[in-house]
Amino acid sequence: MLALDFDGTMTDAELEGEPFTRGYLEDLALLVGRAAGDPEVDAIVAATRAAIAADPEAAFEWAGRRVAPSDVDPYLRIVPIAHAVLDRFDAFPREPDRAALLGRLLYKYNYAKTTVVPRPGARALLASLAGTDSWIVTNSHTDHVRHKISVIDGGGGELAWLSTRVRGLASKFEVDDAWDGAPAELRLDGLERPVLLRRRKYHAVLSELLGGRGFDALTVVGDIFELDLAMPLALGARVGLVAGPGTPPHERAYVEAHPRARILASLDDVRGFAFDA
Amino acid sequence: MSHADKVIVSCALTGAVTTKKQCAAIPYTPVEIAEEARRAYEAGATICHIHARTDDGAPTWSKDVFASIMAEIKARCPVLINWSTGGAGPMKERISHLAQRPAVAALNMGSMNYAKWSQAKQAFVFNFVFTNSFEDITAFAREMKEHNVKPEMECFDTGHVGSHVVLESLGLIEKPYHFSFIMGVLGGIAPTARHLAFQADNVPAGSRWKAIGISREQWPLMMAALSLGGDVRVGLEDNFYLPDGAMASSNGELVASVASMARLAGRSVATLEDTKQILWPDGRGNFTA
Repeated sequence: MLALDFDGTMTDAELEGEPFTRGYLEDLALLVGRAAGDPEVDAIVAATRAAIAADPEAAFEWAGRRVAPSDVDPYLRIVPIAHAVLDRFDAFPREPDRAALLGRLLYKYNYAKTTVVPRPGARALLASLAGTDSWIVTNSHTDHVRHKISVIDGGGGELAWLSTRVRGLASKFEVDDAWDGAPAELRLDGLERPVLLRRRKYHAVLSELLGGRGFDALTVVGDIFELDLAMPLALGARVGLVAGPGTPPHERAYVEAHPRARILASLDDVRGFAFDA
Repeated sequence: MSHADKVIVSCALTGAVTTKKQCAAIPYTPVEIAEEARRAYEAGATICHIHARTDDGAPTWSKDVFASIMAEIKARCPVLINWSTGGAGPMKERISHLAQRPAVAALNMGSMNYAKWSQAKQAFVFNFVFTNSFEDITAFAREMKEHNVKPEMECFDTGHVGSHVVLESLGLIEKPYHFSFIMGVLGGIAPTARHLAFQADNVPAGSRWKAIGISREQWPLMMAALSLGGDVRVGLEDNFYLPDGAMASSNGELVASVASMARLAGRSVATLEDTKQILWPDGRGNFTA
């Protein structure tokens, strides 16, 4: 079975996320009483961006846990930026209020502004997977990804089969320490913090799709090792990393060295990796 | 889902000074106002805040016009009516329509400079002192109590919130108290998340509060209110523009936009029955007047 991530894997997350980032920052500036493009807000944004890019340990935090690299896509990168702006203006100091604002409203509201920019070869790959045991497993909402698939399809109908094979809201970022269905962590050379593996909800989505088969029957392809691939790999799956400019070098090195993992330079390589091995 | 998770959506249909030249959807006549109330209700609003207009758009405190608006609305939908009481005009005129027993009426809670400054012209667009003495506030509150009207305590600054203690002490308001935070008027509190949170922190436990933002700054303020657990008000009185910058063609569009935001925030839009239970847990509101 193939489980494909979508945003960033089948699409160019940086390009399609530009309206998301622009809208998010405009709303953020207004929330702290400044206009869009305010120099002080822009300076905080630029400084935080630079700090994230320069620090391989910089991580996206969810519920107080460091669960993914910060700089791999616009949706993760915006979170520490938002925290920095809100901190500077002493806005939403209480964690639950801030989590509701950032995790729900600002993210979802501005996610709807994203455009659809497929990676080269996305349409051909998805069309070629018809008839195979392939699924889209994504953190995004199912309806959003279905919409993107229909845009990539361009009305041709070749991707219609995928509409029932999207599993959204997979919560790949959620770590549950009380769940012992996976090792607690993985250590990567070049990364001081551990990669946390106990992602129970993501595991449950994959297990349901596997329908009793083991993870050795699974291939996962994604663009963020820590979110998409680390847990399935630890449980026996084969994984393919669709690497990009933001892929941290320690992730790339780990994948290159692992016998069940591969860097996929192009989407043209996905089908063969998943089904012809 | 608890009452705290439900969002009461109010809609300010027309205001006193907006014009059809500014936005073609601004309603003037009782029928136009009632049609906008219906659109707002169908989109999710359960309370409509209403100023009366003459047929050519001038503000009026005519009891007959208010009565006509109420009748036209009730012929179309069961939305709860919230009469304005604020602005220009003798107090006697601004109070007489409360006898028509709307469910809610606005009660301005303090005085302030009320202005708009043009940075480009280095001059005021308008500039006056918005006078609401404690004598007036308590007189309005007494009239509301007499007619079983729930006061929506409109607060333009932090001191206005604290002034509710006078009404509480005099027995003129009943829990749960109903606060509105109008933000973004020059002379009042700034429309930022930090200020909204501060306002919300100052209301007594168990109160309901809502945010009211002016112009396009309204939308981030609505996000802040939804994230902080508050209620929201939209409507052509406050803002003509949808979140994407397009001019709204009806109050219903503005209500639909904020209802969509509420769902994104993981909250549900309060139904009419929810709203009645939340604001009048004893069931004694003016629902059928």
